[in-house]
Amino acid sequence: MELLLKKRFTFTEADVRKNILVPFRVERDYVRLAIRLRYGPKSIRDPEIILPKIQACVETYFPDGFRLTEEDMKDFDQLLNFVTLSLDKDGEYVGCAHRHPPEQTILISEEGSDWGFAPAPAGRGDWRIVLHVQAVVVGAVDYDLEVYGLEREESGDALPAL
Amino acid sequence: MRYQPFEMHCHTRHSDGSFTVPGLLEGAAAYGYAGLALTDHNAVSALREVTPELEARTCRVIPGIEWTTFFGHLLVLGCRRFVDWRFVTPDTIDDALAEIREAGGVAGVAHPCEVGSPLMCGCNWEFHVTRWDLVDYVEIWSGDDPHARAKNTLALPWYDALLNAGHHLAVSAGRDWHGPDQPGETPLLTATYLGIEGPVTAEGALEALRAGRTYVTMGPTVELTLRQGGREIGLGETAEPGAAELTVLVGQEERREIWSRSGIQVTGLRLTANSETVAQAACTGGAVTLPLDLAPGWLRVELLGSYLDGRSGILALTSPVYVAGK
Repeated sequence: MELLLKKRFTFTEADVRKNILVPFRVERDYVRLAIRLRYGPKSIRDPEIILPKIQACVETYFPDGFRLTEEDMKDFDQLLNFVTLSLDKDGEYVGCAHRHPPEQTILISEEGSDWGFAPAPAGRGDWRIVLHVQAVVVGAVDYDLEVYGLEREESGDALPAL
Repeated sequence: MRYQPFEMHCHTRHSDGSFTVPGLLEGAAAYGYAGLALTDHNAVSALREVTPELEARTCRVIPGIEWTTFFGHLLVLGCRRFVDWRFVTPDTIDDALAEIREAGGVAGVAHPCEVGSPLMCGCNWEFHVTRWDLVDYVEIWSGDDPHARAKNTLALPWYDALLNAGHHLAVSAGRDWHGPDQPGETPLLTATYLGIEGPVTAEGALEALRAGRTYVTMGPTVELTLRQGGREIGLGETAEPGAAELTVLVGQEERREIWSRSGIQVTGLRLTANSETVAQAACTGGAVTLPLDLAPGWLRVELLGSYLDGRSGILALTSPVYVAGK
């Protein structure tokens, strides 16, 4: 396996709604690419932090006098930091990991890619990851990103720890 | 033409759902849907798993994607090519909508009045659309039990304001369905009925959305016939101002084994034109005929009744019939 990209980002509330472009060039063909990501903290449960955020959100998005219903509030016993990732190659969209787990390994190959991604040859070309900073609830979110090129006999399980 | 029940907003493991693709289609078929819109967040890879054999034993699939952006969620159905969602901004949304239309797609605003970040990331509609003619429909009911959440209470007047401004937009309901229900559990489901010519196909469903032939319901079916001067006018079509006769046929047979679990009882119907109630009638099912004097603008039928533990509200609501002259 070959490490093709290794980056660390720190996102704050000022980065929310930003797309972070991470281009990388692959110089030779592999059987698959493994994109690894890890970020945290994921969940914010402290009521002293989240209740004012919920109140501010309601005031921003609802007309005066409108409240969240009891049913709505069931969803908000925690708030989540959230960064999603999309991928293109040579200008063609490959897919997106729009899901919450804060640690993911995404395999891309011509034989079949992971959920959310089209099969794509893991070969030479201009690739681009886009990190979509959806939510930073409070403070900072540290985000680690790595891309490996894998040969036939190598699986994502063999990747070193992030 | 026949109106067919669809679930219009679904997710699988290809985004943040827990459904497999076959599991989703099987679940939809078990609830009596003729089809569903497969709308994973920012991904179309699930569509590779939809085979003719799978559709034949379950239900039809409208190919789609939910553009899940920082500034709102847009249900994009039936594009012949991929249209990139990633860099659209509030001020470039018209260009994106034009590109969707050029690609043969249909566009619908999802849950426009949901709260936004950080509670529900990007879920509130903040786009500055000026070309509403490039939008086909609005998801006025989001989630199951549609009257339980503030977002839907707000969505109907939001949608009506667009109609009052002269825009032609159909209604949809979408469960935003992410995973299987627990065994024995049936939530209060909704359906979007699409008026489809001939066999149930994805293209037929898309054409119904484009034409405005839709209604949303918690269960009972609504068949509307507007007669004017020897002409019959359906949902999404345009009548002339003046005298007309409206017949509404309320059906309670289709999918009844599903929605009767939610205690739904029809008690009446209401005609709303340009946000004003213009007629109301008692109805427990069957046909109701009303004479009307149509004013320029729009007109829809709302079916009223009770559900669950005796709550009352709108059980079904149609897309408009438009009236020329405004």
